[in-house]
Amino acid sequence: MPTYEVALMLRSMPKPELKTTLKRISHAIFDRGGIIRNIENLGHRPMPYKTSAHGLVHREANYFVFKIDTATKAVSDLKEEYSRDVDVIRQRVFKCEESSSNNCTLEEELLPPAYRDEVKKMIEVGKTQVNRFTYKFKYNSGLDYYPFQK
Amino acid sequence: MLSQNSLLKRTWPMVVQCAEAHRKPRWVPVAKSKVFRVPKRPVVSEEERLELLRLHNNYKTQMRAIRRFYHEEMIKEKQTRESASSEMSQRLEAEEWARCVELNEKWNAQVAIEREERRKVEVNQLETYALKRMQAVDEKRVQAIAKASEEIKRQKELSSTFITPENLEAAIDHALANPTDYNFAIDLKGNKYLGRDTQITKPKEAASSASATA
Repeated sequence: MPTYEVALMLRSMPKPELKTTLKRISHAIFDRGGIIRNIENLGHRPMPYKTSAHGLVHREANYFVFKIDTATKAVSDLKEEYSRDVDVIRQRVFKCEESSSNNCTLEEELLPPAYRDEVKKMIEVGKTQVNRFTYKFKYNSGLDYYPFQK
Repeated sequence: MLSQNSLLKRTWPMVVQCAEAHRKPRWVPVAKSKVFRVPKRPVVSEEERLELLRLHNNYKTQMRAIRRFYHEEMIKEKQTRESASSEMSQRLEAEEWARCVELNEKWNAQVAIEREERRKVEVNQLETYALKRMQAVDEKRVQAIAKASEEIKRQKELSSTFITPENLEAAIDHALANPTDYNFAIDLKGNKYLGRDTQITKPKEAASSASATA
């Protein structure tokens, strides 16, 4: 079962009602054999723009993020159920990506090109790809002028 | 091929210049002014004709003689050659053939030995290559299994923190009581101020010291 993040905007309502709504939402996940890893509350905040849902205009919302594990086929089902829920204004489901442990390499990347390992490697490669059959004039050959047309 | 006679009796010069650019097209009829013109026939005197005939006859006779001579010579040579391919020559030929076969077999044997050696080396190389590949695949599989088992172990450890229907209420209460905020600000020194509504107090003593030095 892949991990998903369900981001929900719930309409502003008193706390007990909010609790029952959250319970309803959670049970919808449990009923489909899902696992809830975490529930996050991002607070009660004004929305970026006024939004109408289920015949009502909303300007503020409770922001919640559910981190869940569920079957891939159950996702559309959940979305459909939440779309019918009057208390849910907006909902999005994202797939969780594995946390990558990327170390910062900015210091290395900001070096002048000649000091970067990548560029050094490219120069090494370039040296092996010289066409041996083209004549390259050498400036230290004793002539103090360039004999060809420039 | 033009006959000798026609060449001798020609009425126009041997070399005809190409004058297509000036010639009228093929479908244009003869000009009105030239319809009744009769071209003048070349006149060859009787004396000259007889002389040419004699020369011509001579030439033909001599050529025929030469041709016949060579032809007969060729036939004679052929007959002698055929008679030469008797028992003697056949024996020689058989000997030559046997010699060739022997040499060929010798070469074949040598090539066969070389081929065997080469094949052995090739098979060896192939085996090592296949073995290497199999080992690589095995290693990959082992690594994948190790990774998967590690992941399973991690998830098992995490599973104690999962929210179940039993502790759902507590989790909801906890979430409502502790809203998380991922917003933060960074000042020029790299200090991180977590939260959207965090009050940032300017360090007063630093500002005053700066003004004092200035």
